[in-house]
Amino acid sequence: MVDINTQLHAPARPVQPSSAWHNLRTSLKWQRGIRHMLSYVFLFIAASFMLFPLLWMISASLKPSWQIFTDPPIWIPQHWETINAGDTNREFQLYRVQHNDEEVTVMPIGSRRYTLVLTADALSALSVDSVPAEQLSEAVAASVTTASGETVFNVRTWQHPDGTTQAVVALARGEGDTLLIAPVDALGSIIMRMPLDIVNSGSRAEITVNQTELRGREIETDSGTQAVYAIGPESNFVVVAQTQVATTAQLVAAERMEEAGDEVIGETELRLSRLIDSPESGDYVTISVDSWQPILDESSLDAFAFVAQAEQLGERRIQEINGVSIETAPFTADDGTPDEVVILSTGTQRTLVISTTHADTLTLAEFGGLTTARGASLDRVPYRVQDGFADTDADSVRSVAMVGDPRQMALIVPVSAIENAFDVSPSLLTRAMFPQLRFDGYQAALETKVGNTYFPQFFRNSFILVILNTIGHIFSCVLVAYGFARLRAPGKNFFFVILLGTMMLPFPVTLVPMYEIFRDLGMLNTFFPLFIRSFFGNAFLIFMLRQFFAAIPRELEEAARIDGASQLQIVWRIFVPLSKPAIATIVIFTFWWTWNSFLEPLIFLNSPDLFPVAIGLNFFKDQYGTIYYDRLISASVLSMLPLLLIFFFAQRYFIEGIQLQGMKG
Amino acid sequence: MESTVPSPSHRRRRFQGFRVKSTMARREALTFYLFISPWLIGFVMFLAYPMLRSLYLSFTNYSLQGVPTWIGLRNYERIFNDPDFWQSLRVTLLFALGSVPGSTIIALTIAMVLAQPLRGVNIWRTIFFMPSVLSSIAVAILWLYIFRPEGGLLNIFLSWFGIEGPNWLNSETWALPALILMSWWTIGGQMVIYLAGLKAIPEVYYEAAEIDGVDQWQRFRFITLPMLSPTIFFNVVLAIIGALQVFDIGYVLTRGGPNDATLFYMINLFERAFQSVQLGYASALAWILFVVIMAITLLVIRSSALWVFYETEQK
Repeated sequence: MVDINTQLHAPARPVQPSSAWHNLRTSLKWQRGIRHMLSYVFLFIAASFMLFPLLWMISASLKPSWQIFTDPPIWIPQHWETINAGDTNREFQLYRVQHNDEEVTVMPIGSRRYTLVLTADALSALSVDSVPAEQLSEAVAASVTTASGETVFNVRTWQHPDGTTQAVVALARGEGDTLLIAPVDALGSIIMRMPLDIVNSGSRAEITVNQTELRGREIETDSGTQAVYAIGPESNFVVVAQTQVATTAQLVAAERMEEAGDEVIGETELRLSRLIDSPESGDYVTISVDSWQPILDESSLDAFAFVAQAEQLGERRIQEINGVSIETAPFTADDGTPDEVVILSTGTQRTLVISTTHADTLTLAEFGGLTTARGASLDRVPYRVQDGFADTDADSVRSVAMVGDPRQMALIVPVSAIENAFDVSPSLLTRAMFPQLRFDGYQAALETKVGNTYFPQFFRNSFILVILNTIGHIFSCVLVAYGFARLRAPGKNFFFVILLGTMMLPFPVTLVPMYEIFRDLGMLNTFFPLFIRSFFGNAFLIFMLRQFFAAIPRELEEAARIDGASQLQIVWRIFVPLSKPAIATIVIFTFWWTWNSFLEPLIFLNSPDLFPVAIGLNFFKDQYGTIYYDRLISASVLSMLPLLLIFFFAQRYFIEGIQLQGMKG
Repeated sequence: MESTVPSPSHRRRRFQGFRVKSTMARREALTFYLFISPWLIGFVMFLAYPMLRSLYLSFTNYSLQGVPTWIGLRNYERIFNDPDFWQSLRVTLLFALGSVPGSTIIALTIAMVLAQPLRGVNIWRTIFFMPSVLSSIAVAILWLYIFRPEGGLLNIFLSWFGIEGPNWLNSETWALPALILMSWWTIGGQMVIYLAGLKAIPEVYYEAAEIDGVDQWQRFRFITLPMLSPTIFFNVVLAIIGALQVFDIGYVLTRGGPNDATLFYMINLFERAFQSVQLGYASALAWILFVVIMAITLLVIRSSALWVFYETEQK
C-alpha cells in the first residue's frame, strides 16, 4: 500500500502531465494542506484546554499559597522579597514604588488617611446650585478621575426642571430640604487630596457658597493660609520607609507603649509612641500590634519537660527568659533540689514545666502563623504543636510546641532609624518579586501527619496494592484468557457470553454483600478486600488478552505440543512471552485502576496507615474543614507522577495494545 | 473406504477412535474449566452470590448488627416516597445526559483529527490522554481550584470575555454543570477506542470515494460514521454505565451539595449504606440502580438496530 501511494504521489516520471491533471493535483494538494493546517490549529487549541489546567496545577504547586488565587493570576512562581524584622520571627514584605523619578524598594511602616478637599477659591469659581432633594436621584458610587488619581464619589443624577439631567455630587445640606450640588465634570480638575490629619489640624473656617455656610478648615500651605472644604471620601495611604529600618525593629509588650503625639518624619507624618518605663530611650513608631505566642522546640520539650505536681511548685511570677516574658515558678524536686521552671501547660493538678536552664529555644512567634497546630500531650497534660515551623532566617523547618499564653506585642522601630518616609497610594505599590520555584509545599506535604502516619506511607500503600493486583491479574487473566482462546469444551460459548455480560454489570449492586463477606472473613481494615479479587480475573482484561491470544498462530504451539508440553508449559513458555504488549497493557490498566480506586478503600479501610494515596489526599484539611491549599496541590501533583511516568513510558503498548475489534457485533 | 459395508472390526475401530477422541475431549474440557476456574469461582463468589444476597437484603431491614429481618417491599416503598431518591436519580440522569453526549462528541472529534497522518501524532495523543490518566481525586482537586469563584482559572478566563463567572461549586444552579464540564476533560479512554475504530476502517472505501469525487462531509456522513457506529455504540454504552455510577468527583468536590444539587445516586447509596448503615435500604437502592442501568442499556442496544451499521449485514 505504501509503495502504491508513493508511486502515485511522487512526480518521478518526466512525462509532461496534462494541464487539467496538474490543476486537479495542485488543488487536491492545496485542499489537503489547508485541512492539515486547520487540524493543527484545532489540535493546538484543544490541547491547550487539556494541558493548561495541568500546567497551572504544577505551577501552583511551586508557589506560596497566596499566589495561587490572585487576579490577575501570577503564572510563574515568584519569590516575594522580605526582610527580617530585627531578631524577631517576623518578616516585612517589600514593595517597589516610583519615588522622585526613581524606583525604590520600600517596606510599609504605617498608614495615613487622606481626604479630598476643595479650596475656597475653587469653590467660589464653581457653579454650585442649591436644589430641592426630590430633584436628585439616589446616590450611586461611581469612579471619577481627578487630578490626584481615580476616586469613588457618590454621584447623583439631577433632574433639572427644564428636563435636562446632569451628574452631580452633593457637597452639603442646605436650607430646608435642599442640597448643595456641583457638577461632577467640574470637580475632577480642581479637587485635591490632602492628609486628613493636616486638614483636621486647621482652625475652623466658614466658607460661604450660594448663601450656604460650609464648615471648612483654615490650613497652612506653601502658598499661605487657605480655607479648604473636605468633601471626602477618605482613603488610606501607605506610609513606607527604606528597608533598612527593619533591622532596628524590636518586640515589646503592647502595654509598655504609650502614645507620644504625631510628628513629621521625612515627607509624611506619623503617630509616635514611647516606652512607659523608659521614656528617655526616645520615640518609636509602632508598626503593628499583634498576638504573639511563646514557642519552644518540640525536641527540647521532649527531652527536658516534665510534669510537676501542684504542691511541688511555688508561687508563679512573670520572668523574662530569652527576651520572652513568661510565667515561671520555683520548683522543688522530690529529693529537695530547688530549681526554677517555666510553666508550659497547666492541666488539672498537674503542670507541664521545663527548667529555665533548658528553655534556651524559647522564643516568640506570631500567633497568626500557628493556625495548623495539632494537639499533643505529655503524661496527659495537653499542649499544641505546630509542625513545619520555619524561623525567618533559617532554611529548615521544625516542630514547635505552643507554651504559655499568647500576648499582645508591639513591633516598634526607633524614629531615629527612619530617614526617609513618605506616603503612597496602595495602588502604586508593586510587590518586590522575582521568579523562583518554591518546593516548600512538597516538603510540607511529605511531612504532613495523618493519624500516626505521614503522607509517604500512602504512596507505599498504593504501590503495595498495585503490585498485589498486578500479580493477581496476570496470574488469573493469562489462565482464563488461554482457556477461552485455545481450549474446546462444552459450555465455553455460554461462559464467554457471561464473561462479556459481566463487563456491563454495575458493580454497586454487589457493594453491600461484599462488605459483609469481607467482614465475616475478618478482612475489614486490611488490604485483602482491595486485591484478593484480582486473583479471580477481570472480565475486561480477560477479554482483551483472549483477543490477543486468539491472534497468535497455532503453528507456534504445535511443535511444543508434539514434544509433549503440558498446557501450562505452553502458556508460560509460548503465549506469555509472545504477549508482552498485552500483558504490559494489563499492568498499566491495573496500575491505573488501583491507583485511582476511591470508593472501595473508602469502604473497606478505616485506619489512616493503610490508606492509599487517593484517600490520603482527602486529609489535607484540619478538623474545621479548612483546606491546606499549597500542600494539597503539591500532594496532588505527587500523586499524579507515578501514573504519568508509567503512561509516558508505556503509552505505545497502552494505545496500540487495546484490541477491541472483536467487540463489534 | 472401498468396502461399502463396514466390517464389524472396522466398526469397532471407529468406535474406539471415538472413545479416544472423547476422553481427549473430556480431558480438554476439564482443562478448560480448570483454566477458567479462577474467573468462575470469582464470578460465583464476588458477583453471582453478592447480587442474589443483595436482592434478598433489599427486602429486609438490616444494619450489620443482628440478622436481616424480612420486611417485604417496605424498603422500595420508602425509597419511592423519599425525595432524596428522586433528587439523586434526577441529578444522576442529568449528569449522564450532559456528560455522555458532550464527551462523545469531543472524543470523536479529537480522534477524527488525530486519525489523519499528522506530525507528532504520538505527542498529541499523549496530551489528550493525560487528563484521563490522573486519579479522579487529583482531577477533582485540580478542578476545585479551577472552579474557585475568585482567582479560579475558569472565572479568570471568562472575565477576559467580560463574563462574570458564577460561584460554580457553591451554586445550586451551576454545581452540576460544573461537574459535567469537568467530565468532558477526561475523554482519553474514549478517544483511544475511537482511534482504534477509525484505524480499522478499510482504506479502500475512502479510495473509492475519492474516485467518485465525494466531499469531506459526505465522506464522514456515509463512510466514517456508519463504519464507526459499532465503536460509538460500545463507547456510549460504557459511558452511560459509567456516568450513572459516578461517585468520586461528586464526593470529593461537593459532597452532594449545595442543597443536594449534586447528590449523585451513588453518593446517596454510599451514605445510606456506610454512614447511616441501612444496608437493606441501600441494597434496594442498588437494585433500583441496577434495573435503571440495565433498562437504559437495553434501550440503547435496541435502538442500535436503527443507527449502528454492521458490515456483516451487507454480505
